[in-house]
Amino acid sequence: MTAAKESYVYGVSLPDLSLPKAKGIGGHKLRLVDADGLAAIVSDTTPPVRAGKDELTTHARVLQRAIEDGPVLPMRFGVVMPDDEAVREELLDPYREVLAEQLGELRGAVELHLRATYDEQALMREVVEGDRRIAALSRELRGQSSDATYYAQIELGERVAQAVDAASARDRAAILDALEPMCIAASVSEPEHEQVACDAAFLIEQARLEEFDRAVDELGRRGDGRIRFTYTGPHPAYNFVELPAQV
Amino acid sequence: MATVQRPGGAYVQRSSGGGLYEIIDVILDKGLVVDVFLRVSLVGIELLTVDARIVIASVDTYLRFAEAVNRLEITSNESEGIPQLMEDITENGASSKTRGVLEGAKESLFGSGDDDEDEEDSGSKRSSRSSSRSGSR
Repeated sequence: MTAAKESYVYGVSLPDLSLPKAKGIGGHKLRLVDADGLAAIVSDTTPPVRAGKDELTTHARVLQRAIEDGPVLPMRFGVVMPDDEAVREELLDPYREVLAEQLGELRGAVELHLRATYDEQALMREVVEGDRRIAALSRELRGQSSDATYYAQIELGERVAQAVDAASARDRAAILDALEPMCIAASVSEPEHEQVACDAAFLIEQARLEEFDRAVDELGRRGDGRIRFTYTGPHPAYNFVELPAQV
Repeated sequence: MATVQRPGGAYVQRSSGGGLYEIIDVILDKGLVVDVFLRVSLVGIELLTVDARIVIASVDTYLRFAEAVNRLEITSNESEGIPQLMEDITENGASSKTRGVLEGAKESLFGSGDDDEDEEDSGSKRSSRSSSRSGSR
């Protein structure tokens, strides 16, 4: 018994997009499903789609290649519609206006990701030097067994955590102040880890890319090893697309 | 995965777009979605988020911070000999523990090759996911 084929959707673009020369998830061929000036990038699939390494990579790769040719609104991983008719009737037609508008906004724009991560030692040194109470507590605890000082250790750690929060709030603000004036939009995520000072996506006009690059370099120099930046892109504009909850 | 690769300064690490590692949370969490058609078996993905969140503001974090600070004091105030040697050992131990949390989560996502187990996991998660989705439109 073979399961019915359904349509896996990667993104929405324009009908004149040249499809990337890549296979879709599960090795299926990519194709465009178009309707009145919009086109969805799809491939056959046999659901459920497993969110494994290959599948995730393929989704990302198809979109990464597609944006080299024109504006593409990326779908979240895992959108499967019963068939191409459903792609037209449930996605392209009902959301036509908002899709077309967002495609227009993305023309000539790129998404960049920037994550600022602390060097732990540098950050800890700064915290101790910047807070007398933390320095004193830490001196007191030195050389004592950690079992005997469990609650004092927690108190010290809690104070350090607060100092780290304050530092990352400051650093995040400084990073965003430097970069936001250059971008069309910014999307800042909750840091996934306390050593992450800032995790953000920026939508930039292609023409300002070099200017933005230089600003990031400058932040890197100012960070002086205390903060390291991971800077990637251009990515599909995952952070700057949205469908209204209901049509 | 070819995109533009731009030059970077010493403290800015750049990589071209599409690197799975960088994009993984993004494609699971961002992008267009028509809720009723989101049909994906989530293999260990909830774990990725949960593990990462737990790290923030827990007693463990506090203890780890305390340890990091104490380590720092000793390293900068004492010279060498056995205490220093001991310190090096704890330092290595502690930092690998710290990183372990996030890496552990990623391992659980990409698995260690035992696909059969993953499939079973995904089955139960899929059903809970679809039931929570069913009323959402």
